Amino acid sequence: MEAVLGDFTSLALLAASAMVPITLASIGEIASERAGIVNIGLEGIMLASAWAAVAVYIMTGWGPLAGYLLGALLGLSIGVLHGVVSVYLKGDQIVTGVGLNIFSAGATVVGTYMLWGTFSNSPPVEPMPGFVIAGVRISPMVPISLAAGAAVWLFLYRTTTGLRLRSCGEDPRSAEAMGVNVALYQIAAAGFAGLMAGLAGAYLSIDYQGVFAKNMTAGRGFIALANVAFSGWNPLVALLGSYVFGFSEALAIYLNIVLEATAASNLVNTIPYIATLAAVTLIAFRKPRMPAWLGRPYIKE
Amino acid sequence: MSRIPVAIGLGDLGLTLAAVALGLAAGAIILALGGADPLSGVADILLSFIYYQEIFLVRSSILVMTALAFAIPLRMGFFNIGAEGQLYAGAAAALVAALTLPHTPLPALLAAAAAGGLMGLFAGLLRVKLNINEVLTTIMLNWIAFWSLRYVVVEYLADPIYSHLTLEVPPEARIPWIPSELLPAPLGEHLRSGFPTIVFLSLATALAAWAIIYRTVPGLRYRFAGANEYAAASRGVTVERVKLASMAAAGVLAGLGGALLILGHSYRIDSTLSGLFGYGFEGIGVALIGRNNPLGIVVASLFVGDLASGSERIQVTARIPAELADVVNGAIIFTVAALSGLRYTGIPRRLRSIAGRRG
Repeated sequence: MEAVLGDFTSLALLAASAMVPITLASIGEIASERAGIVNIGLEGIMLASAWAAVAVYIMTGWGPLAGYLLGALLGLSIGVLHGVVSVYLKGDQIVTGVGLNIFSAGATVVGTYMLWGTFSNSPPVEPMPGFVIAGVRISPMVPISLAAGAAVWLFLYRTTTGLRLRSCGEDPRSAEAMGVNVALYQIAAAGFAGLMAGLAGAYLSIDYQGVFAKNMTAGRGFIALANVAFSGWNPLVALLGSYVFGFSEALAIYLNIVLEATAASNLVNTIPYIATLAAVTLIAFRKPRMPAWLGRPYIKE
Repeated sequence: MSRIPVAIGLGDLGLTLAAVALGLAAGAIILALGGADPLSGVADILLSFIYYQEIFLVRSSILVMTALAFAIPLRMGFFNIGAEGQLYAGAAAALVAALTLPHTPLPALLAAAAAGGLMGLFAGLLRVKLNINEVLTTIMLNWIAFWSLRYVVVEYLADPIYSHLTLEVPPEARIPWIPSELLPAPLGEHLRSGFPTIVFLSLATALAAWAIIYRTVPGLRYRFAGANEYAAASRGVTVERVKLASMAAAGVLAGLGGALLILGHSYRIDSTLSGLFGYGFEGIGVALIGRNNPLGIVVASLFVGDLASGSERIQVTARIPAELADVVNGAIIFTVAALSGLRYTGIPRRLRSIAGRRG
């Protein structure tokens, strides 16, 4: 019993580490979708930033903060690009995201080979100093990401700017009539989503796994998108949702340790994806109300 | 229902070619960064079909199937990103069926069609009945199929001698190749191992798809529902059924793609599934370059298949990973989609969202 309880505590703490990339990407995406821009390319942004963070960390020797900074900047630039394409070119927000994901999957492998001469992964890196609870290392990004969720909630629901941002996603024409610069808000929101996904990617490679590995995001960008719907576009509920997804990932890791890399561990790896599928199916019965103008290009009269 | 990629008409050949040129430019930049000569590198890629005929022919054939799997639901406004997983399911089902009933390829083809079709239908049902975004469900199903199949391959189908490979498709269940002595002289010289029959099978599939869509009553209903579902519904088209059929058909085609790959080319699955990987995602690019028309898809599949064999070649000649093909494909897909809005004339009635409702 003692051992089981100990295992459960470490599982619960591992889930807190596993939830961070999903938390960061989700709350960025909530802000973006509230403004009416959907970004299917979260996965690609995360992966590119995960690679760039490790690359700058190893190449410059400036440590993990430089990695985080570059990951965030890269995410921001891709997010702004996505915003500009969506707002000014009226591009298809779904297909551009799919293209971005494929591009990123290829470019990171090519980049890994060019820098380190291997097809699979970078050399390992040393994570940031964290604090240890019950024998499990917790990164400072855990509390930071929780605080970010609360901050985005306050911004969206308790400030005038947040209200204006939400109006862009609900009815851009009325927002424009009220003097809101819809294009500016939408691009800023898309940039913020990119920035957060960039941080998520940097955390994943520098902090969580201590290495860049090919396709390491493994669907987390899409799990974050599912979490956005699951949360009903509410950052506080999204924190709860990402903990559930983080827990399913921690459970898979734990079971893989228990099973010691037998064939069945392949089956264990499906747990997070089945959990995600179950979550979006369950939430569908509650019919959450999404931003009314989500993903539709706003064309001025 | 003016889904943008669907709205791309004949006049957009210029836009498509511009996107392809941009994609190749992205590839050239990467080649230059990798220390290779970009111009000769791109030429090496584009001329690879002459030297890597087998990879080129097989890859193009399978890409026709996965591209149709993306294009057919797209007209209904659905993004089937699940061809990847549907192809895995088809390949696995084909292998199991071929090992069980080893006398003809037919049961394997049927099993693959059923496995892929059910996966497509499942995502379609979630979308139509519960309004759950199909991009999410198909991506999740891809991962579930990937890990489940790895489990099945290692646990139940492994070859006792080569543990990283599955058992082989028995000889009678394979799709035979055309032997090189039956080919016209210059071809026979080049293709020592013969000519893959799956080329004709996928070509026939594309022609059949074109004929059904543009020359039959069900095809007319499908195009009507895709153009304006409300008008179609008011004229008695059961739109919901058309939508489900489009997703199921997509799954069937992707599943058959997996079967063709296993029965007509590789005969085995490796334990990391590397031989099956990427066809589904590359198919999206093929569909967009081919502008969602089955005949355009055939032409586009030759280009993307050439790109794939070219990146295999460049891995050998210029020491650049074959993933370069994904860089070019991704850049093309992004550009086609980004520029597609330029011809935008109206606001799409369809609300695209996660778990979205009609607005």
